[in-house]
Amino acid sequence: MESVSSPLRCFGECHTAEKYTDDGVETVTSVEQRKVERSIQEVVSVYKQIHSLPHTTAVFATMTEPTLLRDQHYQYLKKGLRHLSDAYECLDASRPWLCYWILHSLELLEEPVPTAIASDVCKFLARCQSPTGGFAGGPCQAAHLAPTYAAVNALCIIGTQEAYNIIDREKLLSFLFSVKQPDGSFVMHIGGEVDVRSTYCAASVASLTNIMTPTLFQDTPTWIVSCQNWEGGLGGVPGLEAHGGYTFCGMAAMVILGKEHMLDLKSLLRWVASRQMRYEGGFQGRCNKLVDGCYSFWQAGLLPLLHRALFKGGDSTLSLQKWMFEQQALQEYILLCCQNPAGGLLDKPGKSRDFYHTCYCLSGLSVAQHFGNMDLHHELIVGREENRLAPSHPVYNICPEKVAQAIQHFHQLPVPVPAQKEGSSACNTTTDHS
Amino acid sequence: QHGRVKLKSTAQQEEEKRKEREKKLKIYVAARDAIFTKRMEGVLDDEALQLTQQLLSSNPDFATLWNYRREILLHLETKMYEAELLFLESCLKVNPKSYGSWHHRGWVSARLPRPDWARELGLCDRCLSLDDRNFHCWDYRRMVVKMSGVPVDQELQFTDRLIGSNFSNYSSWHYRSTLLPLLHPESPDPPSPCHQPSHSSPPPSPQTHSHRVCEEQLLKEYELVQNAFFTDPNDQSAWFYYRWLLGRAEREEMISCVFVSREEERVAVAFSRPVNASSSGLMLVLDGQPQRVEWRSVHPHFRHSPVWICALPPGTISDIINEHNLTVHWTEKHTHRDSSFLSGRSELSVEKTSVLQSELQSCNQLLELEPQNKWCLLTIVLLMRALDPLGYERETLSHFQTLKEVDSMRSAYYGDLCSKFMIENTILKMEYAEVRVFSLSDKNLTMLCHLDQLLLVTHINLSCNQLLRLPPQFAMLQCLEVLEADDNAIENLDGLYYLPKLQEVSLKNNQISKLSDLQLLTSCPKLTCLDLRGNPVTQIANIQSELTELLPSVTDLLI
Repeated sequence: MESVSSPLRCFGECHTAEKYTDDGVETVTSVEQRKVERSIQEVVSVYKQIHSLPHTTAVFATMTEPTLLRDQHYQYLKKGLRHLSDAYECLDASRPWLCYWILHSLELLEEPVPTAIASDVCKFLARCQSPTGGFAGGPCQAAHLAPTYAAVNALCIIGTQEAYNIIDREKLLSFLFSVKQPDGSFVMHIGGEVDVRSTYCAASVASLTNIMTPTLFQDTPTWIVSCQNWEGGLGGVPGLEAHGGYTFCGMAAMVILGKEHMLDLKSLLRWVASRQMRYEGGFQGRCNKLVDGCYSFWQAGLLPLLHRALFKGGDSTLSLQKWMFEQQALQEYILLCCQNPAGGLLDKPGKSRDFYHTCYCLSGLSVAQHFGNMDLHHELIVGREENRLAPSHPVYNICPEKVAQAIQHFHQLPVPVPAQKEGSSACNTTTDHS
Repeated sequence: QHGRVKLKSTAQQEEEKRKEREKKLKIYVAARDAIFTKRMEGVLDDEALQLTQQLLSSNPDFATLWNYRREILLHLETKMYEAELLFLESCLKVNPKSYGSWHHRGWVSARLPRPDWARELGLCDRCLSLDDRNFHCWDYRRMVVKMSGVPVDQELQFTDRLIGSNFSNYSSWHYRSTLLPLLHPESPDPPSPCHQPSHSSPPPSPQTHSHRVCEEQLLKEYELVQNAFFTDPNDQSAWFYYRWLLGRAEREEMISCVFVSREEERVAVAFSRPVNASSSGLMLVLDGQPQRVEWRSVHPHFRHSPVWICALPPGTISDIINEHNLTVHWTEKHTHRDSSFLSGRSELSVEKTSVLQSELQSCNQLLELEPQNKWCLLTIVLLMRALDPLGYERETLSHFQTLKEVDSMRSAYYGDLCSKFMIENTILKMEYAEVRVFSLSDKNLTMLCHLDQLLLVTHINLSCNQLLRLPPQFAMLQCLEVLEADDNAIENLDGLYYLPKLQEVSLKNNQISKLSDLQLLTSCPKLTCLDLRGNPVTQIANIQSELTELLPSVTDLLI
């Protein structure tokens, strides 16, 4: 285990040399990039000033190290689970996501959720479950793969019998079949759009709840492979440019289906490694775009998956201590630039906090702190030891114990027999309530 | 929620706004509950449309409501669609990145009896002018182009305009890369006029269609990209696109070489890329009779390998008197190869060569203006390799020296890349001379590659380089008899694994430090001479006797 109290990478002499050079020819892209770098530089120089104060007392010494504002984040999350302002109106169709983002953030901070609250969350998610299977964005809404993924993850985090029993596995399986397309892809909901997020959502819930049948994911790996393009990353559908969120979904789905070697892993590795920003330390979502804290998970989270896949493929040159990205730089970006002093984390300095960014910045911080698995574990904590978060499962992004517990529970139950035929056409909208 | 803009308000207006928002929230919740009630009752009327419109204006991600609206619309008159398109435009103004809005617009457009695709294209143009990286819009545009049969060359002109105004726009280059192979596909016949617009037949989808582009158009494309990097030599987008263009000639998948050893009764097969022969349908035919053999990869580390080996049943070809005919069939790819030499290198057509020459000239002109520009230097190196790797060898080495100076952070990468090119050149020289001796001494090699092309080499000299190891791939040199690798920094001999013909090994002045490093040498049955002078391992106590015990058949041991 390594604890880095100093020196910080962003304090180094060579750090300013990493800034973007436009060679005197400005474009919209280059102007935006430099604005971001200027704001990062300001943040870093403020920290430097604090750092250079004489540490005469123990209190001062601890203040100069990058610190995760645990208490503030905890208060922000605790409140959010119960009450959200009207600014969250735009997420009225994504309420299970809010449950998952908040619960996962709390488990990373190793803050327990009181039994009463956990039970209330279960009851709420039960109301979000559709009578025809799957979970919707809120009560009375149509089932959708994204809130389904979030609801199942949230219930697995809670991990009680009550939580597991909420999920109607038979209906969930028929929901998955109803959104399955003949070419191997899935639509996000009946009457909805296709993209690679759907394969991850489907594979995640099916594997956790043990409802995988031999035909459910037929042709899905081939479809996912067709989303990988010449850049090395994956786009949302075949033909689109490579994007961090979609790439994570595609890769994680392939890992669940055991088909990760059908992808060109070397070019994927090359693409994602190039997405870490040399000055900021965080990741961008696509080539020539700006850094964003949430990609700390979507992009950096690909490296544990790639590490394991390459290891399985017989590569003996892999490190036994570090992932193939700059872990220290990412932690510095998150701790110095992505925390709201009142609690919650964010995209980049100047942006507002929200629970989505809180979840994925913390998830990325956890990835950067922990290398390895159960047998081989190496930690690298930037700043104080108290910054340490719990490790997260690289495929499902909930804590590994919760994954193991859920799988163990659901594997005692038999796989349901599929009643419905697969592949409704995209234009068929059925009423959910009869 | 990703990428939404939030407005700040002063403290004074805070309370007023809070009351406003509470009121709004009450209205929202009331409307939502009313909608669900209507839906449960199966009502499909104008009021439901009004209510869902209200809600979707503030939350366009509400997929359920879009579904409900679709049900209502199916029920009502088609003329409602027109109003829907207007409504969708305002939704897209609020949030141009809403999945629901774009999908719904696509659905509406497809249902109109006479869709106005020109208008849809105009919408895409406007959206992209506000944010030319919006992939929702790019995807929608692709759908519009496909549905309306917009000629691909028109779209190509569109990318011309976008690229012209912002060279950094990666999305435009990317879109262009998908259009080119459709408009100018590579055909197996010699260059025919490559302008066949695709209205007569449905455009092939990117998945089923090869990504190759016909030569004539490829060369024109170089010109466009050149404009881009001349304008801004430090913008990566153009250089990456250029490199993609240069890489369009893909090597065919095939068996490149078959080697048969009478003495050891084994066959070695080399492929143009790593394969898994155990699942790949590899069949051996001897004198017209298929043989049942077991294929193994050259090193246990590799499930996929370019070289595979099998042992023939004893006695089948060991007799020197008779002639035998042996063929290897790769049934998966419907190709086969007889036991013979092959060098498959595609020659450039005269036309192409002259254009690449002018490319090289242009880049050299740029280099005079920008002597420190690494993109330019690297591209010049790639062009020289495409034209005449041996002829430009000296200039290439000099450019790599400059590259290491101007871009010192990547000097290791340049070291490795230069090593690869030097190895390629040596392979070319070896093939032209038709010899099986391979000399790479004193070439600043930092790594080894293309070892799959050295299956037939009997003597190899790697002395005076900067190698750290003989990697597992080295086991592909199945015919190697003599290995010279003095004066390197080798500490790992993983690749000296079951080399059946290896007799002499010279490893003077390297970094072999433990007896266990030499363990693998026991797998080489014919090894008789071993020179380990100048290695730390020779300082170990009793090293002479330990080595004699480990390798009893090595009669000529120098430490």
